[in-house]
Amino acid sequence: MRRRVAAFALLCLFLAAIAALVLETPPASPADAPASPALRTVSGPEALARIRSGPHLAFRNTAPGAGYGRVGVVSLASPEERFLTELACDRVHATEDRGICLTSDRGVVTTYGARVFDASFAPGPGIALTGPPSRARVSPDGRFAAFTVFESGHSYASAEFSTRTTIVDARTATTLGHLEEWSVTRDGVLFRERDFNFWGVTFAPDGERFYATLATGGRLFLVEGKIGDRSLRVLREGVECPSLSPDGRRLVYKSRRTENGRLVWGLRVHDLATGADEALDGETRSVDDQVAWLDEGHVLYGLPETRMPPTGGTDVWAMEARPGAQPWRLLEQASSPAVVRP
Amino acid sequence: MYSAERPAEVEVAPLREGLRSGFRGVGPNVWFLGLTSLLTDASSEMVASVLPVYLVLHLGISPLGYGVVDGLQHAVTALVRLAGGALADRRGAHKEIAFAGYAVSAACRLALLPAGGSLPALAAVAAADRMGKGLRTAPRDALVSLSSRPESLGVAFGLHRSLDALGALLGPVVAFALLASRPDAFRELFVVSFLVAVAGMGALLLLVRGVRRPGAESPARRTAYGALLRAPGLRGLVIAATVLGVATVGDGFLYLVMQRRGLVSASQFPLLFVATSACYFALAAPAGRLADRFGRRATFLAGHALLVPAYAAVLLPVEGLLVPALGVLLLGAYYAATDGVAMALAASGLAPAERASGLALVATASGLARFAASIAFGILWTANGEGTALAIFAGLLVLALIAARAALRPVGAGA
Repeated sequence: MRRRVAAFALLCLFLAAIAALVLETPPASPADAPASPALRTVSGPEALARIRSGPHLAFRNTAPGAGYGRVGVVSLASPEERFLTELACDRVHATEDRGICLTSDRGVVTTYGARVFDASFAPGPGIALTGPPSRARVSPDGRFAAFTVFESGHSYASAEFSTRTTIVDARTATTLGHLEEWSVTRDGVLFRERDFNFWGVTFAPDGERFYATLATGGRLFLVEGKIGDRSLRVLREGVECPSLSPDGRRLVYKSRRTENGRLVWGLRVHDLATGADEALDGETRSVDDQVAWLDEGHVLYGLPETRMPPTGGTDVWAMEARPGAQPWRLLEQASSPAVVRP
Repeated sequence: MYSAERPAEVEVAPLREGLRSGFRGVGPNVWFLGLTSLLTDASSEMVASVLPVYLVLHLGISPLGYGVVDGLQHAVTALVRLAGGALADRRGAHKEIAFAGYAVSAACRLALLPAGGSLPALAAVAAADRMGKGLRTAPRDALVSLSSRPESLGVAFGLHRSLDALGALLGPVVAFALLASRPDAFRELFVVSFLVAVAGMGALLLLVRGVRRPGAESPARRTAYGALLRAPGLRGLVIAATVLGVATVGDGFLYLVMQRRGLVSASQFPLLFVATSACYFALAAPAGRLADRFGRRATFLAGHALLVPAYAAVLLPVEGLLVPALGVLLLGAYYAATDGVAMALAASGLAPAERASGLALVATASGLARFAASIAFGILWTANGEGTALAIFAGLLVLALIAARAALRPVGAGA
């Protein structure tokens, strides 16, 4: 018996040694890694001003190195050079004047927050969130911001969840309302169920309306909301995570389908005026992201990177919003893209 | 033959002496099985506690994507459990089957790495993990029962469950300590979790003694679950476990109701489970000892009865920590008085060659009943609100207690 105890002790020592090795192997965490040589970073206020003076992209940088998790900007004219700010966010969305930054502070009790920031990426007022945030948007005129918080009722592994989508004033971060408490109509009739979950807010250019996804009873609906009225109305079914084009005429959204018994999401484009609806079938991979519009004709979305060995990061891809168009990788090791056109 | 539930020659001793003699009836095997469970539970909770953060924040999976509901898995898990029990009994291969189950779950930790953000892959890993758990539970419990004296079954299971709960406590602590010092080091966390699981497998392999194969005494035979159910003693327990399970609202839902009523914030939510594990850890062995001394049936029923005040407590219109504290205490005591005690109750009436199958049967009945209860509660809650739902379940529980008591009544003399 003593031999067996000794053998077990030896095994534990061996495993502990491997664990130590794993934890020490660089990169122990992406933030500690040396910067990947393929990406160029620029620094200094002139570089930032230059990038921001033209059309640019704000995003979350996931390249290994000291800038991991920080908000970065690239000029759309030369996306291979990125400027990394000091602001660290898990999700970010921005307009010319301000943006919203969602953060998580890991611990035994993890806390989550949303902070607005100004044109120089200086953090402003914030609010505490009740769960991990998953989507964030700022309205084009910079007045409002919306984010979705994922409130899971889970016993470590169960599948129950619910969302809470909040509209805030983007300057002061004061809460204006939670969509789950607003009135919803469908075909003119009041629509109310206990299991409403909203997410994926996308603001209209007029600064008053927005679109979002409503999930209830296992079905997904596109809803249109009016901030002033605190009301929403159901438009159509089968739309998830809509994103409105800059001119407010088209929506690109996720559409679920089953392929070989697996759940995948394809992108579709919907014309709000004509009702035309087409699949963006040039992208054959499953896209689980709310797209951002690059311009009137193109969308951006994040996809898990396909490098080997996999590092669990994402890249930002671009595609023309018409069937058959082929996507291309716009930005490596980035997520949560937001297009800003000053 | 269903043996008498209270051994005839139990000594009435002062409590301290009683505790010591209680522990003496517990073989070292039980402690080593407890160590195995501690390590493997720590490993699985390490991963489970960070999974929502990993999926939603790190991988960017949408909330609906995270809600991978796998109702079908419960039926599959039930089948795997019954098959595992039967296989273990057939050849006395309890240690081997349990090892296989642990190995599958350990592999799942590692499988999280290549799975990445692919939802189908993640669902498959979760399913495999659950199957590993189903496979190993009954043979492991059978080993616990076969390594203890009959009069100490309660405290033996209590000790084992206590160590199990300790593992469940340590897992999240280690996970968050790791993530606090190295943010986003999820992949490293999964590897460490795998290594801890391997340590657990090592404990099982090297320290735990397998049971003598009953092939020497009786030819290897296939378990006939039908025959097992015909034995009145076990049938009574299966019926009792089923009716009580159907009226059980688990900690997940109760805490969710508490959160919806604003008694705890979403970030404090995981602490409720940690606290429940802590109570379970503290109360499991004493509850087992209580069962040995004062009757396992009575303890089993009393444990379930604790749920009624737990349901009521959740509805109290009181702010502050009183309700969560009450909930945690009552639920921890409920688990301590029912989980291991049910196994002790079942084991005391099963021949060694049927141990794993019989325990698998009870666990499966209870598990399926609870699954049905959770669906029913979810529907009731959505339709009528938590107050009505809990009141209905409290009423159901009272009825179930009456029915279970009748089902558990010992069969007449000569049985």
